[in-house]
Amino acid sequence: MFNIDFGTLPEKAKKNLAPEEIMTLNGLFTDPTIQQQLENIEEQRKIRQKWKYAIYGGCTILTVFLSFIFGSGESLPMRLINGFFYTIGSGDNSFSPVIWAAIISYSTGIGLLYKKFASKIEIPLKSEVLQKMCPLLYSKLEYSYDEKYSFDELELLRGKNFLSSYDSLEKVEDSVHFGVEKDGKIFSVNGFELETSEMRGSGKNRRRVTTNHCYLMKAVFPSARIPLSSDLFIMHDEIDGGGNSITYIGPILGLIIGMVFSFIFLSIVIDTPSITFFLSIAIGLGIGYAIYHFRKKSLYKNRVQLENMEFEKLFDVKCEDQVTSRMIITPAFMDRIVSFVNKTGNQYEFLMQGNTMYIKRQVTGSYLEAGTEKNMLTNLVGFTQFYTDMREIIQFTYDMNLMYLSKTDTTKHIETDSSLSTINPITITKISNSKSSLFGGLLSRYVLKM
Amino acid sequence: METQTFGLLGQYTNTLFGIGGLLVIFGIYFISTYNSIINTKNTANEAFSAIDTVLQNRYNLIPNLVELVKQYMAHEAGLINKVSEMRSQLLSNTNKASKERFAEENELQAGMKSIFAIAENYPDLKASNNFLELQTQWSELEDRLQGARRGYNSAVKLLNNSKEMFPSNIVAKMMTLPELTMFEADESARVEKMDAKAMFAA
Repeated sequence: MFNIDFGTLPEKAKKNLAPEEIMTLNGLFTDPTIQQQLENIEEQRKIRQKWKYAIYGGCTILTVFLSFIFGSGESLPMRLINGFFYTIGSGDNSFSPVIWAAIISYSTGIGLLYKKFASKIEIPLKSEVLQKMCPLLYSKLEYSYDEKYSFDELELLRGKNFLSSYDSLEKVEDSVHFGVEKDGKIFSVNGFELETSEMRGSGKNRRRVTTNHCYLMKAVFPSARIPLSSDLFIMHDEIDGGGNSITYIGPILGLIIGMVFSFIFLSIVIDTPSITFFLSIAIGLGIGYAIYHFRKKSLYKNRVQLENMEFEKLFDVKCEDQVTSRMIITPAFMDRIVSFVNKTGNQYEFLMQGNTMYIKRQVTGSYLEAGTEKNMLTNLVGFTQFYTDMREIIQFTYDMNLMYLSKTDTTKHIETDSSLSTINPITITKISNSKSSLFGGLLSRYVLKM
Repeated sequence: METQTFGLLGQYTNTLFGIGGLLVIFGIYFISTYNSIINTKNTANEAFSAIDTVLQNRYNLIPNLVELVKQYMAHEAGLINKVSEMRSQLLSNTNKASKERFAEENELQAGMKSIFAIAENYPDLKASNNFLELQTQWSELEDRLQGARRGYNSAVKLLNNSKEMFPSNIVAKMMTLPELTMFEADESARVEKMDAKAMFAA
């Protein structure tokens, strides 16, 4: 019997879980199917451990043997050390056979281990455990470890600057789908993990580095009452708070470089040092100011300045249509986004197009990786994070949906929305935290009948 | 090193270059600040035009609404006529930016809210598709009006900042700029239940 207790998770992982929720999740792990799956996974993990020791042991023996063959010296340790660092040739043409043999054998071994056991540990863990955790949250929340529920507009989003830094889209996995149908119209949320990387460095140091990583979601509001003809971007702040460094670094660099280069150039042309000095300062200041001016102009282009200071510190809003954008970004809307971001503690960006909202959750480091090395509870930390993220995002998008719906049928829609009524009672405690907010309150009152 | 002189300027060359450099910097600052203030003023004017456009759309919607509700709400003729009169009065008002106009706008808005509130007591009217359609259009115009007003307030705030903050206020003082005031929420709009009959009592 596998005993999994979510109550023993690190505080950071369980802080957004209500006690009732911990009990329900613990209950899920007493399910015989899950128990059987966990036992199979654990068995594979033990086999993997044996293979790991065998491969690492074999690689070590090979390295020691080769060091012994190539080494020289009277004592055995000296011979092994000399052998390990034995080099053929000199300079750029040098080659260390033992070091390379060690690197190749270890990396091949690790690669083989991963390839053999990823499909036996990671995929079953996600497809069996995470797939069952999601419907606990919302009955219609479906998860797939591959890109089953992804969507196709990635190239379009790259063109719109929303994903412009994603020069190549390499990893698309861990997709989710949530959908509520009413009168033939579907409110849906789809999402998946997206990663891009590039080769960096040269020679022996050349390696692949992850450059951008996010969880991208798309919410479709079926009865959008506000026709958005222009794209509305709610992007990470570059103007008021976090962006000051970006605004000023360029001009300061321009000032310094302008001064230095003009001083060098003018020293050749003009013989008088003082004139050279004054002129180079003036040119440097001019270049610095010009960079500042154009940077500011580009930052402020299509900017929609709003009244909520806290919101303005988190985001910059850009839209060609100043009036319609303000129809959508109302004070209640801003409060809801701020409370959502503060509660999750993650960095988000949004793009609204017509009746669709794209949500980009920035990811640093690994996300939802069920490592074959990790024990079960450590893997569940990542799963729990994903679980609570999904809860907040779907609740948030549903609140956004209320703001988009036609005013005349909003109440009707919410009252008869059977799918959202199936929210598990364990989530009510957490949802009640948002009762004080306007739309959180609406959700509580009409959907949960509180 | 031998000092190179520039004709008659002689020993004042360094000073003149220094002053010249500073003047160039001030010149660039002046031009960019001036343009920025003009841009903000034009943005405010544009935002005001957006408000006016929404108000015009609202005036166009009122006759249709009035004609429709007259058929059902015979007992509310006073209120309906008052709204029609206010619309005519507002259409003839040539001073579009006057405070009086916006006070009257608020009264008109309150009157329309009352009509919609009273319509709750007329099931036939409430069930009418035409009425629902007009009500939705009215509601969307209200949202658009709020958006336009907030956009205008934002532009006015930027303009006022330029006029009051140092050093842009120096440039602003050299220009002829209009005194623009922000829109504030109408106090009557804060009251949840209004006594419409008392409000429109002759």
